[in-house]
Amino acid sequence: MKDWVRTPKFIIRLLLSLLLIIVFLAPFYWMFLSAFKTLDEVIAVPPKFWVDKLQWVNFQQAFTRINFMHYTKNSIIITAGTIIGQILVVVPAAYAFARYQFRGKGVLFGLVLFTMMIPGQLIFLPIFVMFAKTGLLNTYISLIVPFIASGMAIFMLRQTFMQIPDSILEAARLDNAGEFKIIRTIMLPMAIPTLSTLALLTFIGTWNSYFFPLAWTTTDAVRTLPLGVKKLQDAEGLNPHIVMAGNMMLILPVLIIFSFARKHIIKAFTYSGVK
Amino acid sequence: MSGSGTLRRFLPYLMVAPAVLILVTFYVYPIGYNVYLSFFSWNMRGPMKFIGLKNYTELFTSHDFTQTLMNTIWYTVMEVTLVIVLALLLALFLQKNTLVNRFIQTISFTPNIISLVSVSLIWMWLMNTDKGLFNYILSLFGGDAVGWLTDKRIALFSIVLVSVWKSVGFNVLIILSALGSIPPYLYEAAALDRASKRSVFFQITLKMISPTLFFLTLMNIISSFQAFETISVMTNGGPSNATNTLIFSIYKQSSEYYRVGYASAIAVVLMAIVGLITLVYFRVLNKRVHYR
Amino acid sequence: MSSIVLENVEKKYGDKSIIENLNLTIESGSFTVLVGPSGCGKSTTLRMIAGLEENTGGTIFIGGQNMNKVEPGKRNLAMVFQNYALYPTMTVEQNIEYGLKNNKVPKEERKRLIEDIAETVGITKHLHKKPEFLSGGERQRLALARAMVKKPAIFLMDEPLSNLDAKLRQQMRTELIELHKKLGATFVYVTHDQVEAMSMGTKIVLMDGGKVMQEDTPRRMYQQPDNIFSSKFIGTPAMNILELQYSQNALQQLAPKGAKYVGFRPEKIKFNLDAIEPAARNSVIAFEGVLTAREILGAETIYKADLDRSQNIAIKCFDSLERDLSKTTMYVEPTHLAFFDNDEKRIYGTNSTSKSSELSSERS
Repeated sequence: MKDWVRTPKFIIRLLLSLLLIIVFLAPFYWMFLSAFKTLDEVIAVPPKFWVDKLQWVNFQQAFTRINFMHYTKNSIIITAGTIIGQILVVVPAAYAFARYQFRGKGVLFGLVLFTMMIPGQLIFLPIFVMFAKTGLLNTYISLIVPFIASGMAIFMLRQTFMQIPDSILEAARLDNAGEFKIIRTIMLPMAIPTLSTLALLTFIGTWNSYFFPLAWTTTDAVRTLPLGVKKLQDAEGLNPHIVMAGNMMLILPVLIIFSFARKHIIKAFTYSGVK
Repeated sequence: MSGSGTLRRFLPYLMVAPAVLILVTFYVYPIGYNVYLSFFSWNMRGPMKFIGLKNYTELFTSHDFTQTLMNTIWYTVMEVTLVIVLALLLALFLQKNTLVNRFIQTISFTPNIISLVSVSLIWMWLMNTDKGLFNYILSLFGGDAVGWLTDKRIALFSIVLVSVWKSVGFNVLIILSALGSIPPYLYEAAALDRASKRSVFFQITLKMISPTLFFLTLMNIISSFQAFETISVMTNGGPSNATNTLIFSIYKQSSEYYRVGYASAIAVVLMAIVGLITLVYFRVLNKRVHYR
Repeated sequence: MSSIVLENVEKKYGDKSIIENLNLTIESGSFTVLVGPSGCGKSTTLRMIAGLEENTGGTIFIGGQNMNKVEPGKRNLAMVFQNYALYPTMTVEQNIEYGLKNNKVPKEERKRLIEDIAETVGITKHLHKKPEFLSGGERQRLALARAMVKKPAIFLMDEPLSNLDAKLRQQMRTELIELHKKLGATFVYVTHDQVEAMSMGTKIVLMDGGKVMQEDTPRRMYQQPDNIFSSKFIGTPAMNILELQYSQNALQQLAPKGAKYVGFRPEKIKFNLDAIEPAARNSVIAFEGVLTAREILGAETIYKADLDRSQNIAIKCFDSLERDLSKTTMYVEPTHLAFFDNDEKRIYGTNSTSKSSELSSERS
């Protein structure tokens, strides 16, 4: 082999890389492994770092110990509802902010930017009281509507609409297209990359959300999968293999999407972090 | 330009109305309502009783609140320092675009897209005092079992560790993108000027990414104030309040003890802190941080 | 039929007036080039004709009809934009089809038209690609195809070649000229490049500061500039303009009443008398000067020369001699002189009648 392979610098680099890989992958591997172990295997000392026989039954158990389907259904409804609602609310707002001049625009857009700076969790309590007073506690609406007017989504989409060159719209006007036709056939298709980015971010955010579904509900009626898995932990704390199996089922959809749209998601997060 | 006048004039308002209504209802109004609630004694069922500043006086004389506040500050200091320092080191380590580096970057980012509940459950299991992997590895080196989540001197740090593991990858990503946007000619110019490695790092690299680091610091501070999932899942604020933070105590006071006014007062204090820090951030940003 | 008439047209943005009282007739079937420095109002004029900008005053007629209230899509014109403005989410085919669809052209006919036009501009094999996968030249052709397929009476082009490299630009120029001949439609073409204007237009409209400075055929534009602005904008190097009060007596005596400036094209000044028609040799005007720079451009060579009293001129000659950069004498025939008055306007007429006697005294 080449000389540089044996230099101390290279060896240090190699060891550090290995360490980093272990640090970030080992916890996942441990979850994966535990989820397929029997109870005896999972609490064995010294622990086994491999399993001989995959215990698929753990998943079945996790599935039945809590009403897994119920939480999954809620998660799907709330995630889908938030994504769809967000598109319906954010697209027209972003379009108006980007493309129209109207009185009060500056103030209203200032409001959007202002809400981007407020950590939503700090004001969960007054909103809880509002829901309680209006009878909206334990409804899907209460877990969807507050999240569909995301300031960041409006901001990102506005940027997209602003970046579309005027000449493209003018070309369309010369092609005898009316205003709404231009929005439908030119502007929206051009915003699809941004919209899919937003949908991905919203999916990850909503699917993983634990705080609000916990803080804004008093019954299990509309609680989501993260709460379900937490409940599994509360009930089955002594059976780590079952908890890990449930946990895997919570992670799986996100991991699948991540493996397909890795580049896209990383880009979306970079964008949301850089703004 | 042309078209039916009235509709045209009101169209923009119609388009922004739903978003603005929602933002006002769920951001602007609740802030005011929160302050309002903090002047009352209320258990969510009975009548509301105006008690003025009593919630606040109770707050500032309460031992629990002081501990909670200290926990929050400690948590924030540890988590922000660790995340920024580690993320910077990692980003510098991964700067070269090789296959291995890209792989490490991807796996370091993965925890960030996964539910904090899941992350907490995994780490809870790893940190289990009797059967956890961590204590087993310690025992291989002859160490005693550590009560990662049960020892009140360690629990808060354990929570910080989990949070750092989850969020460092995101910070690496942002720092890497900042590093990548430093124009190469700066380094070329420095090389022509025979600048030392050290001075290149401090004078160019660090200076150019300082706005990003500063921004990430603010983001991490604010997200530290909101740390909830880890605490809720892993320790439930214990042992003996060692991991109870402001946001967690707002939740506890309201949902377990039904002290809406008192919880609101804590929220007002937390909001004031966040507001102050954001204000300082923008002040300093205007003055000091090097900008392109 | 498809003439364009602008009558007292003005354009204001708020209080700022871009164009005031513009009167212009663009003849049906002409290739009219609007040319001028940036900010001269040429693009705004084009966009008002298209209806993309409202004229804040005056009237625009197309084919005799008042267009002031007519939507851009209903003016029977097509436009090619500087950045092409292709619809990025549509394929080449859909780009061409969009306007036809909006104009309710039946599907079969659309298909036939698209095939024809794609054949004409040579993008048939790219029909199913998105614009981002086309080269610069192909995008240009698509932009043309999209305009042509609507068979408009008027083509508006806003610096359509400025994004192409020099070679392709040259080629597209020729193609546009041929296209204009073939279609017989009215072309209105905006550019800041006088070479482009000269080589393509059947008529040039030179604008500056929102006003028309001169409106002429390319040849007349070059030979008979109406004012100093025209004389300097058209032609490289620009026409030499000298202030009469600093010039030799011979010139001053030739000058008509009211003349303040005199001008001549760089290729009209010669280094030796042999280059001048024998008949004109007696009446020639001589200039003493020092050559200061030499640019060899291949077929021609450009010299710069300093005259007395810090006036300087350019000389274009077509021989292959490399002259020393030193003191020299140069000659211009009086017929090639153009005189301008105090307002920098051309004074026509009297310059060709000149006396020859001054020559000798000047040369001694």
